[in-house]
Amino acid sequence: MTIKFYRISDDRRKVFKTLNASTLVKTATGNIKSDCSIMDPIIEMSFDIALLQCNYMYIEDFGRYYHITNIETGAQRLFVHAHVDVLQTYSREIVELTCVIERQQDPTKCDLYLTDKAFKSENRHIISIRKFSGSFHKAHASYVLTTGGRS
Amino acid sequence: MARLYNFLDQEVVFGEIVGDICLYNTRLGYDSSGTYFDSIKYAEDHGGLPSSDHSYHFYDESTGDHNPVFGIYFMYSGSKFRVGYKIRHYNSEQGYWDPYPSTDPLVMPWFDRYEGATPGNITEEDHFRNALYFTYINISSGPGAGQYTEGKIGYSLGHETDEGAPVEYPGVCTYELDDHVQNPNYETYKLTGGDSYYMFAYNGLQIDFPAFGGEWLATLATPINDFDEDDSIPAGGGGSYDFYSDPLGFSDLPGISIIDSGIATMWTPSPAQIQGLVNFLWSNDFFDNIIKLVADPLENIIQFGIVPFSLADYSGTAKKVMIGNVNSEVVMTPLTRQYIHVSLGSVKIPEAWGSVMDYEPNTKISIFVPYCGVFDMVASEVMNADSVELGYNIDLLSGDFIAEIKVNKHYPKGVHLNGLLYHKAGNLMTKLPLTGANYGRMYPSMLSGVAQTISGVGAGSLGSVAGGVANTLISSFSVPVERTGAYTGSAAMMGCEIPHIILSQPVQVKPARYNEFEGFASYITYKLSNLSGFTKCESVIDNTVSAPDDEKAEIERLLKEGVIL
Repeated sequence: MTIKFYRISDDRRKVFKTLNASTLVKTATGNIKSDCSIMDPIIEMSFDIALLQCNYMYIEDFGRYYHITNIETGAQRLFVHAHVDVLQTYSREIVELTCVIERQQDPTKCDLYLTDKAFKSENRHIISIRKFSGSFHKAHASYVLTTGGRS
Repeated sequence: MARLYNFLDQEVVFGEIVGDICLYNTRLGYDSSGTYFDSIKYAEDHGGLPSSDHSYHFYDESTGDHNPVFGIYFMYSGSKFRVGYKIRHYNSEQGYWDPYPSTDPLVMPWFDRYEGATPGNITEEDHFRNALYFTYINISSGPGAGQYTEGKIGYSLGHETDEGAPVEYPGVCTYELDDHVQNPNYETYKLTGGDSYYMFAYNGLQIDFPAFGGEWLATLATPINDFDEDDSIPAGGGGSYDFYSDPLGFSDLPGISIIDSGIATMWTPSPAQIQGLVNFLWSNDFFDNIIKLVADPLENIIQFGIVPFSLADYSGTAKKVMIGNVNSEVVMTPLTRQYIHVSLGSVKIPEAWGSVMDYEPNTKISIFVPYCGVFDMVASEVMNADSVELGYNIDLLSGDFIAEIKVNKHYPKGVHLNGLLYHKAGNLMTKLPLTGANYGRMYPSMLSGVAQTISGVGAGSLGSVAGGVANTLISSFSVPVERTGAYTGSAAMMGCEIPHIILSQPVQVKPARYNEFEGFASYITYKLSNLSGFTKCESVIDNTVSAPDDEKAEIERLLKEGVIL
């Protein structure tokens, strides 16, 4: 089966990986090792030193993208261990999901008034004073005299 | 005691023992001829519903009305019943009772099983819950028969039941159904829990009960096992969502004053005028002294002090000061008001961080109220308010004041606060002795005696407030040059006179690009395609990804751990 091998530097958490001509290392054929799951396949390949620098692959027959987790070498053979990347594989459907978002990068999509461990502060505080627009005026203080009876 | 209300919002009194059933008959529905009785129309035409009937049969002999419009239902769960109330209405076009309540049932709280009662020993207070709790229906024919052939309604007291299924109660008082049974057909409909119930409609009583052979109780939101007093039950959610705030402005001033009464006159003299008065009071003129001894002028000095602002706005036309019966020939400006309102303006406290950092416990806010002190404020009350205003209502006679802080603030959802949140009392007058000479000591008896001879102005005849002040002032003369009254007024006069807010704000520490790998708290529902960057999901509302379960579960796990969109 045909397998595309990539060398990517994307964060594993990224839903859409950078898969283009610049990250594509090689397209080759290989055989799946028997008794392995589709989520964690082991692919037997002819030895190709170019494959040793790859960390990502796409198996067209499976319709799935995989993180390469390990490569074992044998006599003129390579055994590529991989784990399915469900984020890339189902990326189109994932972005259509509706979720309750716990945390988000964009502050405009967040409620910054929620208690959040992200907000940390130093022990020193900034002390400031805001004056009211009015005040008493001792300079214009007045005597008040109260006398009994009507004058 | 529980109360239920029918759809006309009339209280339906449960608690009357009527025959075997503890219920109240509203006598609404069909009349005896089978014609639908339109209770609402009846009420409109007759100004109310027919008189109540507690007849044995739940049947009003005078009108023949005996079909239900409202009904009660109960759900049994172990040792407790929930009692509710439904309204049904008759579909005159189709000729049947609509199978679903026309309004949501009013769900009553769980009622405790009554332990102590025995037949014939029901206390009035417990009529309702006992009768309902132990009410049951026994049907000889199954629900599939389609006809109601026989039944009885009764109650039993003090007997245990088997959870999950009704049991026969020994010694039960029964009520055999008779000719008054109307609408005998079974009807099945769903309650919120989705379980089937069979409903027996009988006159003013409508009881939902489970199909025999099935579960005795619908699916409940609360656990049905091991009910104890401490078990939690569903609650809340019925709020009005009304956060309306009545406007509450600065307090009004008293409508009357000592000036209006004529008991006293208040002045705002200049220093020169005070000097003139002093010269008059302590002149060495022999003739003057004779007059003063007969009618001591000092008796009529009720208060003398300094307030920290101009009184020009409250001044009247200058005139001569009468000290008791003596014309001092000193001209002064009288005050026109005893009580005044002084605004000290407003302040705004904008958010510094635009986040939770601007509120407690991160940010602390205090206010300095002149002549009062420093007090803590609640940050959420004043932060980001349109204005925080400070106003004083001042009594110029005593110097006492009440400082009021009014907050004008708009909240989300259109809520607007514009009212007084803080009230602080104090005194801002620096009380002054008019002289250093000890006249009280020199002429104690004469002062006392003469004071009472002065009509209307003696210490004993002054009003309660003025009298107290006058007595204090007079007694103070025994110790020359001694401030009396509110000491804080004098001390504060030397201190700060500008009201101000003292903010203690945190210094936020946030690593660069922190949001790109940790994000901020959101707790908002979004479609993921509307987001970008780091996103951590609290929950996936509906995972519609067409993947095998293992992969689906992994997607959900990764979304909850955080992904980058």
